[in-house]
Amino acid sequence: MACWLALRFGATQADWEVVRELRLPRVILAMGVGMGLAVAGAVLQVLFSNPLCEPYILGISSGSALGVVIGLSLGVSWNWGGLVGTSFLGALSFAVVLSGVTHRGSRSGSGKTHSALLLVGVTLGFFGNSLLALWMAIVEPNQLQSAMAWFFGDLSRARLSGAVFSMVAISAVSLLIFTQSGQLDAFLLGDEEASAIGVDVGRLQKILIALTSILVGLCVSGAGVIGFVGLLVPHGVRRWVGAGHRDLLPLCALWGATVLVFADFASRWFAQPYELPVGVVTALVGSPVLIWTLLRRSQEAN
Amino acid sequence: MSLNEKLLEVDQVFFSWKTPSESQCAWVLRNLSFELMNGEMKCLLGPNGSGKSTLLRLLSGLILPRSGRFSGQIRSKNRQLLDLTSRARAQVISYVGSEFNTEFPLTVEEAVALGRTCSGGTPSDHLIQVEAALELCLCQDLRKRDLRALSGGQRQLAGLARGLAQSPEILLLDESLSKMDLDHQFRIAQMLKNWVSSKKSAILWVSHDLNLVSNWASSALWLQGGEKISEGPVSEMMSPKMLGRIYPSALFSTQKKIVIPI
Repeated sequence: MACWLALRFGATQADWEVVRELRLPRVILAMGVGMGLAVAGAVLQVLFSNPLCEPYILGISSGSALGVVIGLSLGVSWNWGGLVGTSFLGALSFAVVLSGVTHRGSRSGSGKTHSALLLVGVTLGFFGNSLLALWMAIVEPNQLQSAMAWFFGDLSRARLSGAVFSMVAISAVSLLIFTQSGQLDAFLLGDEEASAIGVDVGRLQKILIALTSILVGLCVSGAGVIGFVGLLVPHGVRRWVGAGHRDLLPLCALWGATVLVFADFASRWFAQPYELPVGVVTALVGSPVLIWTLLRRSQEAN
Repeated sequence: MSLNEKLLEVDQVFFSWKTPSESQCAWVLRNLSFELMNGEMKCLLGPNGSGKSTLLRLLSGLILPRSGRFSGQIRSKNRQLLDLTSRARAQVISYVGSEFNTEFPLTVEEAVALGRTCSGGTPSDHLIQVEAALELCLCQDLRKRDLRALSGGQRQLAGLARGLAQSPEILLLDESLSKMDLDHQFRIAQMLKNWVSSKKSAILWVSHDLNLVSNWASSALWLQGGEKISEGPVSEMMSPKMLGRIYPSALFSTQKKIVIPI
């Protein structure tokens, strides 16, 4: 919008080039990725009955980044589908390990697996990150800059075609998830209640884990690992409109997109003329809010 | 509808969790057969680990037969219960456990309405059923409260309302009244008894509260080690001899009397 306004007021040909080649793709990518992360976070939270879940904290983003990096070193091209595919496979494999480990612990359904889930997620994240670090250690120095992007998230490499592809694909997957709203609502009471209510829990879990992995794969292959958007946006929106997914998911998509676009503005504005990776900005804002949320929860529990 | 209809037929059911070898196989349920007629409120009694909850979980689909070793048949009105889809099963059977809680902001009203997720019908049907369930379970004053802020007993009221909102033919209760105070237990048990006879439905009720079930249930079934020991009208199932057999220390070694009104 701002770009468009600027154009109306006597922009030169060069300005137009900047907008079309740099700014516009970047805004579109930020919107798509923000949307995908927020929707993925909302789904993971209800799927694991744990409001502290999100792709980054559960290590799924790291798995996805690892997928990209492995794809790169195997010579998979950036052409559409290639690296998104390996990114998706990375996310999926981590998510499957995660749900496998946590469900093994709870055959009888006594759902006290909260801390176990987060621990497994954080451990997976460490594992993924150390493999990423290993890759960075052996990669050629001139690729190091792009390697950093997978760690901290970076929207600056956006190209118009890629950004539009990410946006469209993320919207489509989010829409698919939205069609499951009614079943997701039943999950609010935990998977045992969902099953008692008549939801085919095993099947729905598989579908949602696959769809969420696609979302994370698209986000990470587009912009690297960006944390906390998937945690904070669903949290805020839920406080506002309640937990029902027919309202929650569309608003998460909207606010996720908005938040990441602004985080990206901030990342360019904070340290002018340099740029901070956008993942640094979201983590700087997100981690204190996470700790505050944790404190409040423990107070409520007492 | 015939006057006495079999709502549930459990026929020679064996179940065990998967073990590495056939020889170590420890049956959680062993050759269990019983029937549940409409209008019947049967309590399922037995010591800890006797297979009561496993049976309820099998019936309600929380445990899948293929997750262990299973044989036998479970029928409901000539349908094979275990062959039904989760959605179809939820229209026949509703399971209510002892815990009902959430991690998310959800009012009692919203939580109870989730019981209608897989029931067919129009929105006005849903509304009527939810209202009725809230009223039956004394939840009207709680309807706008956040589920997480309620006491354990109040949450059990809401959980039961969710089960009734599903408008099932068979209601499975697993210690679902355990945290309610005496007054609520009395009123809810009274309500369940009326519900069973007016709706021509049936209740299978697992509880350790012998006082409560002996006052309200119509029949009782004793399980021990996954096997049926005895079954019959509740008045006959509470004999000192039977209780002594199941709970030896409670009756004899402490020299204290337990009171069971008949």
